[in-house]
Amino acid sequence: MDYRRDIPLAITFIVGVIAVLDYYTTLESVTATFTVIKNWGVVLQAFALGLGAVNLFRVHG
Amino acid sequence: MAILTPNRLVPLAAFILAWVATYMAIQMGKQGKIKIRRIPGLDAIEEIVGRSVEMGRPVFDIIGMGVFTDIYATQTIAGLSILSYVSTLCARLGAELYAPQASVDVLPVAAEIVRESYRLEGKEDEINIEEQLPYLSGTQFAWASGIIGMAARLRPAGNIMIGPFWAESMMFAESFDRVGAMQIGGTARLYQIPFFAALCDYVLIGEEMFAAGAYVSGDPQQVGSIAAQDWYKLAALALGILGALLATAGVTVIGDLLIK
Repeated sequence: MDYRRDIPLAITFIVGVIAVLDYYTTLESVTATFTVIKNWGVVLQAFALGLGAVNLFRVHG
Repeated sequence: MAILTPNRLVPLAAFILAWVATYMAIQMGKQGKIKIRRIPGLDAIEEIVGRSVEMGRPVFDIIGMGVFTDIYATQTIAGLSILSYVSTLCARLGAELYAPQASVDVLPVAAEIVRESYRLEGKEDEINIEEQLPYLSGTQFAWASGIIGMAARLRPAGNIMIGPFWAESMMFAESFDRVGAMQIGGTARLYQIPFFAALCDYVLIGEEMFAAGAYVSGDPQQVGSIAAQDWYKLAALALGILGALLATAGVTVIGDLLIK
């Protein structure tokens, strides 16, 4: 088992299933879970932006 | 309280059916039950690379100036899958490959694809990414001028243009034709297909280029996915024709069903 490939794949699959359930169902628990995931997404994007900027300067600096 | 979101019942059913159809098609692809018909334009890629080796002149693979974030992204990805195939052939047969780039987000992906192809053939030292995959410009006619200049200087034996193309399509096809290059053109942008048809030896029309990755790799998963997409299109077409006929007769059952 290749953990570096399988763990991100599993996370992506689970988040994908929750996103689909959120779109097609009205279950409160699913909506609340997906809201938390979307908030985490925003936080991760902010960190990724910073990481990208640092990487840009490391590669081209 | 209804569990399902109102007005999304039919999309959910379509989604599940598409999922099942794709799974079935992939299984059938693995069993060898699905074949993609012969596409002469893709078969000719090997001929172009072979011609280039015999003549001692380079091959150009131009994937267009598309990016990954617009509606033409699928065409760019189709172009990249062809680039992977062309670079593998060039590495294997010893042809010199040039693939000028116009998008800063596509360039690193294209470079990595080409580098990987040469690495897998054990010829990593035979490719100079900076020289052979140069970034020319993100501005349409500056990029076009750069490629026309390269064509005039390097006089390639072959030119493969598969991806999204705009007004530069005619300039490229004309310039490479003048230097005697054998050409394959392919795009899903309908306005540009006539220009390629006028000057290229082979043309991939519209969706043929999307099947290219599956065709050249022969990967049963990709072949199965392509087959499943055709099934969806046939189902949508049948539903459209049936709905139009029924609506003409005053029966709105299909229309009523689709908004549920």
